[in-house]
Order: sequence, then C-alpha cells, then structure tokens
Amino acid sequence: MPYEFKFPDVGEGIHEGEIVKWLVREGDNVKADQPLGEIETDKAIVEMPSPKSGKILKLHVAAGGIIHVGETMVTILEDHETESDAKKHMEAKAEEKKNVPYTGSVVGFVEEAKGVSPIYGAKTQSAQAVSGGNLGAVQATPAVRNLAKQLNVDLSIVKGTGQNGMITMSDVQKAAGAAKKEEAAGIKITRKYDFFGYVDRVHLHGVKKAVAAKMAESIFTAAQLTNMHEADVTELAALKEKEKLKFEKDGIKLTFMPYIVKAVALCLRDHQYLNASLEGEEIVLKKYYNIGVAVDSEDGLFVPVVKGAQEKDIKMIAKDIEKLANDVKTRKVNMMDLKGGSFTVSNLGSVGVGFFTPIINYPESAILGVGRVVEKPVARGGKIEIRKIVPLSLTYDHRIVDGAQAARFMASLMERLQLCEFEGK
Amino acid sequence: MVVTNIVQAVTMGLRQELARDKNVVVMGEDVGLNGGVFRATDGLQKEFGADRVVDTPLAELSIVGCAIGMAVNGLRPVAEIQFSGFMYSTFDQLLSHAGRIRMRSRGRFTCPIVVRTPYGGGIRALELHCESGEAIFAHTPGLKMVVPSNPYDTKGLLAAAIRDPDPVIFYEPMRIYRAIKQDIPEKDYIVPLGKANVIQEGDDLTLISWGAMVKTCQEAVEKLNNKYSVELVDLRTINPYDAEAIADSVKKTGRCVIVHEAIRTGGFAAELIASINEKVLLSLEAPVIRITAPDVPFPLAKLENYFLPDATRILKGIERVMSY
Repeated sequence: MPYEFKFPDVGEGIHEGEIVKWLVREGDNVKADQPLGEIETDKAIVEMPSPKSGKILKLHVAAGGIIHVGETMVTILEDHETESDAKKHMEAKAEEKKNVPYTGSVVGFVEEAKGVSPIYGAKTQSAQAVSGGNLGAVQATPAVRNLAKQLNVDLSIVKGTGQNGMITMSDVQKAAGAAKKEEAAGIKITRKYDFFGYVDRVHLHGVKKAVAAKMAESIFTAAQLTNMHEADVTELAALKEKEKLKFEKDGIKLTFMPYIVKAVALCLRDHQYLNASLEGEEIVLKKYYNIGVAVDSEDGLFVPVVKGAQEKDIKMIAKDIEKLANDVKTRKVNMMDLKGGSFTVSNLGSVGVGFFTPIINYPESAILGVGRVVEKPVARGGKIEIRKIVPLSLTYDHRIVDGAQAARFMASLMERLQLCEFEGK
Repeated sequence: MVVTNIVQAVTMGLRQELARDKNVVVMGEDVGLNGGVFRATDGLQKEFGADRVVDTPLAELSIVGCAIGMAVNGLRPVAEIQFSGFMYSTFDQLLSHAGRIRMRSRGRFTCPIVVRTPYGGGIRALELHCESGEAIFAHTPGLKMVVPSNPYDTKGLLAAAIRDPDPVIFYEPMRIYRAIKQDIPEKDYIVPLGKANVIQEGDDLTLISWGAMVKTCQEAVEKLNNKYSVELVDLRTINPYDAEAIADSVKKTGRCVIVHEAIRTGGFAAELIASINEKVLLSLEAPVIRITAPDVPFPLAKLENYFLPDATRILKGIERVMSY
C-alpha cells in the first residue's frame, strides 16, 4: 500500500505549518531523504526530507497552503509497489472521504442518479404470489381469521353465510368439523411434541375408551361420596388358611375375595338401596345380587359379574372369580358375564393400596373398595392386640343412599366378616 | 422527451407554468438572481424578469402572507421556503388564513397558492433542515398536501398544484432531488392531485409510501428477490389521499405495510391504517404495520441512518406481516 506521509508532531507547541514551496511534482521519482519541500512553522523554515524511495502520487496541499499535524502531506508509491496498488489506494481514499459525515453546509449531500429510471406506474407485475393471491377477497373479521388459524381451516374454500358473504364463526366451526371427518378417512397427522416438550400420543380405543366414557358418565351423574371402615378379619384369615388347603386340592387358589363377595351379597338383601339404580323418577331396587368384580387387564379394566352370589357357597364363588379373571386375561370373556351386575367390589389390596375412593360402576348405587390386609395393634378389652385389619372404602350414590344407610350396611358387612358368617340368614 | 432529475423537473414545471399563465409568480429567498438554494429556479428570473421571479427578504411568514394577498387578488404565486423546517414560522398564515379563505368568504374567494419546500433527511444536513411534517399539513382543513417521488410526477403534480384553486403544500424530496433520472415529456401534462400510483402490482402485500421513501421501498422490494409478490403504492397526494386505491389494493392482498420517514406518533400512516380498518377490515390477514422514524427530533448527521427507515427495516416489517 502506498505510503501516506503525514505532517509529524515535532513538538515545541507546533500545530500547523505553511508549505512554502514544493521541490517535487506529482509523478516525480524520489529517493529516501531527498527534500520534498519547505515548510514554515512559527519557529523556522525547514526542508522536509522524503521518508521513502518511490514515486510521488499526490501532493495533498498546494504551495502556500496550511497543513496541520497528522494530516497527509504526500502520498508516495514505494519502489516495490505497482500502479494497480496506487489505483486501489486512491479509490479507497476517495470512498473514505465520501463516507465522512460533513455538516459544514446547510444543503448537505444530495445523491446523484446512476442511470435513467423508467416512468413509474407502467404496470409491472411483481413476483409470483406465495399467498395464492387475492387472499383479501375472503371476507372475515380478525377474530374469525384467528379461529380459522387455530382450527387449521383454509378460509379461501369456506363459503360465507354472513352479510355480503362474510365468513362467520360458525362457518369456520362447521368447516373444521368437516375437515375432521375427512381426516378420519384419510391420513392422520400427529404432532410428536407440544409447547413444553416431546410427547407420545396413544389412541384411546376399545375397553379404555369405554371405561373412560363410563367413568365420566358416573362421576358427572351420581353424587358420590366414600365412607371408610376398618374390618377385623383375624378370624377370617384363620378360616381362610384352614380352607385354603382343602380348596387347593380342587385347583382353586383361595383369597379373601370370595368371602367378601358372599358377605356383601348377603348383606345387600337387608340394604336394598345399595343394590339399586336411579331411573328417572324411580329408584329400581334389585332382587338379584350379582356382584361385579373389577379385574385389571392389559386391555383395560373389566368388571365380570358373579351372578346370584347370595346363593353360591365360597368354593363356587372362588371358582367363578378365578374363571372370570382368567377369561378376561385371555380375552375369552363372555359378554353375558360382563352384564347384569347390581353391586361391584374392587380390590386394590393385592397391589398394596389401603383406603381409596372407588368410582361407582354406574348405574349401580354403590361400590366397595377392598384394601390390603395388614396386621395392626388394636385395643381390645383394655389390651393391645395384633389383629388383621382390612381397610374398606364404600362409595355410594348419595342421590339414592344416605350416609347412615351406608354406614349400617357397612356395619353388617363388617360383622359378617368378623364373625365369619357366610350362610344365609 | 428529456432526461431529468427531480430538481430539474421542478424548474421545468415552473418554467412551463410561468410561460403558460402570466399570473404565475415565483417568489422566495434567493430564488431570483441566485437561482435557489438547490438551483430549482435557476435561470427563471433571467427568462421571465424580476417581476415574475421575485427575491424576497429572509422572512418566511411574510413570504406566505404576501403570497396569500396576491392569490386572493388574482395572481398564482408559487412561494419557495428553503427547507421544510422553516415552514413552522409560516403556520399562522397557512393555518389561520390560507386554509380558511374559501370558507371565510363563503366561496367568493379562493387562495390558489403553492408553497414549495424541500423536506426530509438523509443528506447529513443541519437541524430544521430535515423535517417531514406532512401529517401536520394533512391535519389542516383547506390545505392540500403533495409529495412527489420521481421526476415525471414532480412536473405533473407541480403543474396540477399551480392550477389548483386552493392552497397546496408541495413537499420536494430533497434527498432524491438528483438521485432519480427519468426521460420525461417536455410538453404540458398533468398528474392529478388525489390519485395514488401503483408502481408495481402484486398479490401478497401492499407496501405504501410517498416521497423519498418510495425509493427506499423499491430497494427493499428488490432485496426481497421475488420472495413475495409486493404491490408498491406511491400515495403522491397526502391530502386529499386516495383512500379508494388503498382499499382496493389491501382488499386484494390482505396485508399492508406503510413506510414514512416522519416520526411515528400521529404520522400519516396512522390515518391510512384507520381508513383501511374502516373500509376493508374484513379482508385483513394481519395487522397493518408502519415503518417510521422514532418519536424524537431529527438527530445530528451521525445518527440519521439510525433514525430514517431503510431497506433492512422495511424487509423486517414485511416478514413480520407475511408470517403473522
């Protein structure tokens, strides 16, 4: 790059000097230390030696002109440099000068045209539309457009039913409904994430869907509340242990469930309102005691029914429950075995739950939740004893059953379990 | 046809009208002997004499006051105010009198004056030399407000303004005075007041501007490189503005960006947006946005590039509206 020889700060308070005369001209070749010209400061007239060997490209100040400290006096193209270096440098300098904000004139800097422009308004079409064009032809309020965006409805194909063909909220909602039907017939697009992160989406179908609908129907229809009781089953546990061996010979695995189902069925005979359902203005009190038993499976929750439980003995009920559970798990359960229940028992004790609030198997009026049997210290006759206790949770429909009614039912049930009374009256 | 820039088009227009109508008088500071601060009246005094091209004292209020008196008495004065910032001292005459004479005299008198003035920034000039006050004049009943963006419109609009029976403020885009050349007719023609110009047709978005910012909008559209189909509308007349043309365009595109170099609050874009809402709300796909200067006095030269809208800011606005 050509050398810019700037007027040096020579000290002694000298800020400027006058170029008395130049001893060289632009285009001259000079040697290092050759005098370039004479400068007069307020101290003296001095000769100015060239700092470089080369060609004088430009003398920045005319003879007689004033130069300040730091300003370029001479530009020298050094010996090893080419003409194109010189050209580039001068152009760059010219550009630099142009970019310096200058505020010395009220007129400022007014840009010059580079070429001749056509007359404006000679109708030229701009680029291909990305919007499909004429989007504004759709007549809809911003609120409707927003709804369309949310429901992913293309307004350009919606027929407006409002004033002057305006698309209304309900037009968009209808179009969204139609689109949904189309989606069912065609490809379904699922999004793998939501606003907060990645998600998996499982289609709700089959038993799960039926259970979901049933649970929602139950909770929104019946006025449900739950009473909780602890039943002492120490003696029953002993009985169960005794009978277990007997049953095993017949290939039946005995649990508490058959006893509870049997006891429930027997008690329900005296507590009709817990074996009932509400149909419009009428309460239907059922004279059959079919006890549903909630069974968990991979496909969802099933409630097969032990029919006429009040008539069956423990062994028979145990056999029924085992068969029904097996049928459910192997998906061979008979439809009739899933119908006709009048009361349900749900056992979460096997998975470690104590008290809980089961939801009524609507339209039944009550459900018994059986928790895990645990040994607990119990005060009996002034002494603390270790007893086997089962937590029982009875949810009932308060439209049909009162709290006291439910409590009386539970009292009779607990009495049967405690005293191991599993025979008809 | 002759290749002309905007300031030359002003001279051509003045010369044409001085020759056409002996009642036309050009007046202002240094417009005669000197030929004008931007050379807009160069040679006119020599050609038409000192009675038709009149040098006035440095007194803007008086220049406009005299012009009003001359106009009411039958002349057609074209006054020059050297920079639009100096218009502020003329407000009493313009707002209190020029705009009201037709109404005040119940139609017996009109006030056919034109006040020409260079407006706008971008030339690294001084304070009060860069003002864009079009909205102030648009807010004054009785005054018309015109802002050309190119040589062809400058000559046609100036002729229309001089022939108009009412007072017209003629804003000349100083920044592009010499930045656009067009081959324009030497013969007499008029660009009617109150009509916008669709410079380029498009379907995706309406881009509205006027004056020097039209050129900046053109740069932005060029940089878009056909990404969107933009309809570029040059408003040309601020008052009375072409509400129909705007409504038609926005009805077609559904999206709109308005660009002006005047400050934001109470700028003329606000009026246009109100008009769009009233007329074509049901066609809007996105809010109409404005690209404007910030609400501060015009800064010193070093900061004017931050103050004035540029192609980058316009492109950002277009993207915002297109992706709404």
